[in-house]
Amino acid sequence: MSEWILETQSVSKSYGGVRAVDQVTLRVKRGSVTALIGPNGSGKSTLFNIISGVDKPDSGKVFVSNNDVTGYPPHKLFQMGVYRTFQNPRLFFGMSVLENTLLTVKSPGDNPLRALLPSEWVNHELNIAEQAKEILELFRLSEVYKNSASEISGGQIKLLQLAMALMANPELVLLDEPIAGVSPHLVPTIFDALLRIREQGKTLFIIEHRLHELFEVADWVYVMGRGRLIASGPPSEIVRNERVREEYLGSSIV
Amino acid sequence: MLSWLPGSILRSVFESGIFLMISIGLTLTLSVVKLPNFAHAEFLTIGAYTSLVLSQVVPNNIPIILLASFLTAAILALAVHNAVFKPLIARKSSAYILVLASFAAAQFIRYTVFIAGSLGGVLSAHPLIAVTPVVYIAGQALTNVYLTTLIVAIASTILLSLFFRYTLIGKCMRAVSSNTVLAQLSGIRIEYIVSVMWIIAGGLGGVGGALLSPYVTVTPALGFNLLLEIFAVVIFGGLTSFVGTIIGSLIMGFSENTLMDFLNIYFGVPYTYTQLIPFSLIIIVLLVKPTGFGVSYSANRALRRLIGVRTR
Amino acid sequence: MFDIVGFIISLVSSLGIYIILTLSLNLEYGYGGQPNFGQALFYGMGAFVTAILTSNLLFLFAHQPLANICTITSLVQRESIATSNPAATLLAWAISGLASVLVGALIGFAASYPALRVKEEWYLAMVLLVAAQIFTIIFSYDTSLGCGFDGIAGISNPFAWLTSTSIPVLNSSYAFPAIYAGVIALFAYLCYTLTERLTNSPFGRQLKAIRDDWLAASTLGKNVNAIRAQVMVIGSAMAGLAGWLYVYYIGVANTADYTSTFTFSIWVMMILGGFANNRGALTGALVLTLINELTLVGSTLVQTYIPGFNPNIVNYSKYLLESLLLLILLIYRPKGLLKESRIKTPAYTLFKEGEKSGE
Repeated sequence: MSEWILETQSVSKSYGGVRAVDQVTLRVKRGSVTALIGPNGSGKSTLFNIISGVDKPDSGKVFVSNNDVTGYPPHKLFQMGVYRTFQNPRLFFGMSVLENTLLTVKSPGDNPLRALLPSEWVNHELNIAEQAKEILELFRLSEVYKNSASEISGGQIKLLQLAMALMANPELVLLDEPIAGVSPHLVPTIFDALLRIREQGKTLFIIEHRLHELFEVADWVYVMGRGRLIASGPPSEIVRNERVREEYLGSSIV
Repeated sequence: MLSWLPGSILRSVFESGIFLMISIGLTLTLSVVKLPNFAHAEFLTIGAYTSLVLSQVVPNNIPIILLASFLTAAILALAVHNAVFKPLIARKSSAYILVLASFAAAQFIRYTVFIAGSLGGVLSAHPLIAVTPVVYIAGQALTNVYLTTLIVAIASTILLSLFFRYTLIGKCMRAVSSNTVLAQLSGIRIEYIVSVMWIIAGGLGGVGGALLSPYVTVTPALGFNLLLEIFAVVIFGGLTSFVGTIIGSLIMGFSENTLMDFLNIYFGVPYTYTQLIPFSLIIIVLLVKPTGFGVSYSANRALRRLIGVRTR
Repeated sequence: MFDIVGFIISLVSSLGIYIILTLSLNLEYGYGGQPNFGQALFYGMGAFVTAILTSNLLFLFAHQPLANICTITSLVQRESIATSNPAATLLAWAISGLASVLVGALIGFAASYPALRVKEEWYLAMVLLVAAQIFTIIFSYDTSLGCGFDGIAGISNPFAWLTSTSIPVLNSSYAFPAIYAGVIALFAYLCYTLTERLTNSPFGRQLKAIRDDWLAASTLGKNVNAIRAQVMVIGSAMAGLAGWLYVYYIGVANTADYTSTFTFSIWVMMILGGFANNRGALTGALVLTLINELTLVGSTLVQTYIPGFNPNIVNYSKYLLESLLLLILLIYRPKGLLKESRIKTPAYTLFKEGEKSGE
């Protein structure tokens, strides 16, 4: 197994003349918790889009477990073990909490012909339902299992996102601001979830606005500013980094 | 050998003019409110029926008939906007829902005309407008209606371009079509602009219908039968471009007449297949070159710089 | 005076066919998010494939020489085969059914490509509408494919041969239409079961996900293009099936039956019933079929009892009512009568058990 689960090489992406991502080269170690921070508009989400296949880079390459996945469509990257959440949660609001959770797992019933014969997929369905039950209970979402995803609270939506990430059992989890905007009393729950995911040997690559929340857990930090990678290192070094402080223009990064 | 050509070209030009009058409104609608209006063809029908009915009272009085057709179609357009599209657009309905709603509105109008026409005994009739030759070119007669159509089409084009470039409402309309949110924030009263747009769009469609009416038997399905061809014109022109609509109507006029004549005379293709030309083109354009044959904004600017006109 | 048996047979037959079409559209748009404005195309192709194939097959299986199916002689000959030769008739019926489903599926597959290429949402609707129109023009005028404007006639009921048997009751003039109505109902039930199973499964979950947010679905491993193609294939196969059933019911394949106005009425049925709900599809189909049948009855009544009043006005009123209904629905109740149903898989039972034991 490769040491680096994710690698980008000089990845660039422009939108209408603006360089959203400018020659970013970084590596994420397998099993680590890596943070990607930077002020708004620094290109973090765009980078995630490129890594998860939502956007194609204008130039540069992306590697997952040493495989060149540049330009792969999102569903292929999922199959390679890359899971990604969105800053504005993209759930399926026409379906229930349970259905959203079950969706993250491949099933023999995904094929329309097999779907017609329940015997082909019912056992698998019951198994994953068991898993879903455990996971939803972890996040205290099991009471609302049959509620439509449009009926639950904002905090519950964020928790559901993490539940789905856990359920999908990926190798690399790309989380786009999982903590920002969550009410303080839910933050411990989310932290527990992140640690649990990490305990299972998965890699976490997390975008956050500021380092504060991730300071304790992050093994490595990348800092982006105006599309470029401006610093990288362990949290303790980053806090003292002058360039980083400049980029945040006086506002605290911790 | 080419004796069929002059008549064919003249017919192509006429059809181009008619389609131009009818389709400009649809281009406007797509541009300003982003609505593919499948009820647009009904404005044509209303214009034709206005012509039919009014010509019983004032036969051959083309100016009055054209004016009345403009008015009735404009009123209808405003009514449909307020009753159907305004609530749906306010609710941010998807494009499919708007298409469906416009289709429903079209069917509602069409069958109202069917019923009214049946009850009134004017289900399919010919307006009392005499088509008389005025001048002769290359052995072909140019009739009064023909010349009126050309004049009205060209005049409308010129007036509209002046309207968009120099009047305040016109400029506001362009602002709304390029960025509605920004326009609203700049203080433009969107609802007023949109209403003016519907008046123009519907009215021109009505005039197109009235100009067409002397040549056809007016039936309630008159517009509906031309609906896809009207969309073809707009699609060829790139959907929101004014110049594009002119190009599109020329393509439509010439392909359905001169090109079809050519295919018929030299290859024996029956005239019943005429519509296959624009329809196949629609599919090709939508799949291959969705921007159509319209002149894009940047190409426009480049052209004008070339001619030495000052571009803003 | 009023032919109640005939009315019921007509009602059941029409209803069955409309149910299949509405279920198909509901699958494509209600669950799958793909607006199909060209249903008339798949339905019509199924009908014409059936008509052409069966007309030729009848001669083949009856060991008679093939000839131009558009002549009166051919019509008379085919009708006589249909009333005398059960084996040939039923075999031709079955084979043309298979062919219609296949052709429907193939065209549906082809139609899913524009869905991938078009830029704006409603372009797909436009492409399908135009394709349906092209189909109409070609089959109306090309006498080698269709029989011109009059259409292909002489498609007799597949059970018409019962009248020449000596079995009592079954050889009456009501028996074979009634039996065929039953067959249509059977197919409608099959389609309902099929759709329910398909939608209450992981596949159904995927469909809804792609409908709600195809990009997010893609990041969760769903191959959006492949799934959309699958839905179109299934939906249009169903529409082809409906075309096959319809042609044998009505006896003639005429392009006038497969118009955009018809596609529109299926949309009304689906939206009325409530989309993403198969029972809703049944409801919508029922309401509109009733309106249709009552219009036919009303039209006949008007002709008989109110002479001088144009009976077409009853028809016109039906179309008027239909469009008014849709407009009211879209503005006031866009979700339709019945609510969107959940994807009911066994997974729910696990949770329900937990609820019951008071966990």
